[in-house]
Amino acid sequence: MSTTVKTKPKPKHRRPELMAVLRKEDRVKHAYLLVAALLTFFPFWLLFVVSFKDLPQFYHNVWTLDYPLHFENYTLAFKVVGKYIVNSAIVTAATIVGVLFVSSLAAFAFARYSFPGSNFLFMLIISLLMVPSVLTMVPAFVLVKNLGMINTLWGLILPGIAGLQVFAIYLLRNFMAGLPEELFEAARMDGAGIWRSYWHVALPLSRPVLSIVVITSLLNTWNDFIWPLIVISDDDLRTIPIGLAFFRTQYQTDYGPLMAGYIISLLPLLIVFLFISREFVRGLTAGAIKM
Amino acid sequence: MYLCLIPALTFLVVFSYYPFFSAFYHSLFKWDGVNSTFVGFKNFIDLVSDERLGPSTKNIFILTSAGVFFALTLPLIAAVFIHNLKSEKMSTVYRFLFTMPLVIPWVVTVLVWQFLYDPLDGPINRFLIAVGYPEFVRAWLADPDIAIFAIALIGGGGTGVGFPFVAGLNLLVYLSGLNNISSEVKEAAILEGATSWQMFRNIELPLIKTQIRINLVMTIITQLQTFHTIILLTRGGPGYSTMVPGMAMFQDAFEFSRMGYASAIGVVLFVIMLVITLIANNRLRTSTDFDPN
Repeated sequence: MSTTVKTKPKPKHRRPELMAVLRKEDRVKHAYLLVAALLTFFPFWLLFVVSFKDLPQFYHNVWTLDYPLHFENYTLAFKVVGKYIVNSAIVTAATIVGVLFVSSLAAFAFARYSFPGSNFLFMLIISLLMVPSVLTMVPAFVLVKNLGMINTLWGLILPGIAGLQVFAIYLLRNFMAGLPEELFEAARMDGAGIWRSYWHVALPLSRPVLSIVVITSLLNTWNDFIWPLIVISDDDLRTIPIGLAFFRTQYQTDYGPLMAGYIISLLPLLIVFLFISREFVRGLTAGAIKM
Repeated sequence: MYLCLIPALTFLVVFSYYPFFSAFYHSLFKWDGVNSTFVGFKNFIDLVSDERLGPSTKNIFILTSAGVFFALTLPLIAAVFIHNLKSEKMSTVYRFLFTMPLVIPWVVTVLVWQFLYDPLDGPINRFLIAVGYPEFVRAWLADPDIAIFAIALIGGGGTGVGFPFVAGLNLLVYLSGLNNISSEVKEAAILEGATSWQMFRNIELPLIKTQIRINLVMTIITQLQTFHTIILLTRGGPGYSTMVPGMAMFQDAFEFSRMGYASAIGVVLFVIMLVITLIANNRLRTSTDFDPN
């Protein structure tokens, strides 16, 4: 949050926040934002409501909850969606670890040392930010096929690391270049080599940016659709996005379990978000302005 | 030193640079992924007479215009309102609420919209019948005249274009811009007795120009290559009524095994996007250095 310049009167009321909400000059703003919030969440409300219905309840009323709630929709859906979540979790975790390792190491070298060709190599990496996936998708697929990684999770993880490391190196290099030289000097005086000043000085200090890398990698990998769609065809290896698309064709008009499956698959990230929403906002904003 | 770079450069060469050059190289070939025959510029010449070109161009225009409209209006208003709320607590609440949809997998969002649009069981048509307007009932995604607009409304589901209209990445980018405005400037304006409209028009709007440009360029580039929503909902149909270049490329590569031709589509899209980025780039460069605090 920015520092506000408005001088707030000392709260005399017992519920100053409520009074602030009702402040006359902010009414239009609240009206706009509340309507926007309602429109945004209404589809998800229907999703939630229908996930507890059986078909007669669904045809009777889609708008509100009906009793009894059919929790068995969730048991049914979880049998299918559960394994997709596990696959997504494996791919995402492995990709994040890979991106963190590969990009922080390279960023450290670029930020703290100058060596012949360093600028050229850095530009070579950064220019990839301008290369869209529509261009590389087809040759990358043929490559992964020739490497024998079709229908394996490696076929998702390795290209994932390669794609995400570019922006990560860019962010991390800029941040590490701004770290005070004295800290590295001190480490060197204590006899630390490259590896130790990377591991004990650069990495711990870069935590705010590392968390941004984690979040952008998490969201990108978890949501990726087109690439897994062409690489994975074995149902046991499907990740959530392609699993859901398949699940949709299986359950057609059996809306209760279908919607329960959608809810189950949005829960993992939502739970993470509830715990670290501030980091998410920062990570998303940083990811959005990459060009 | 160079040891630190080996992992990154290996990934870079194998999975980024090799496919990049391979795309350009194979755009000159008839290629099914295994065998390739040199055909010169035939793929590019064939592009001009591709019957999907017309519908694709029209649809990409519709999707891009819709995206630009959504990116530059609703979230901007929301960002300014949230930023200027008297109650800091409420502005945190809104910020939280409007970030939440971004962590919902976009596939879920798009599939929920598919459900909303369902011709028989979908809430939209059921609502229209319930309130007595059965004449407005449509097969939203199966009607060739409407489908592309139904898709434009959903956009990429959380990718920042289309639904959720206010709560996209755009909002976060605007908010970060507004937060960077120094408080002295605004303080001075308040002392001068500026109204909130004058404040918006003369201070906030000029100072978040960079963010507006970022959102504009980002939206255009996203929309030019988008086909995620379309492959999930209509696969370009009915007929070619929702065909877009990305979808055509996907079809050629993975359904018709015409990978050389698909690479040519990719090359053309890349060149268009590169031109747009370069035009915007000299103005943007100063702003892309991200400050994590």
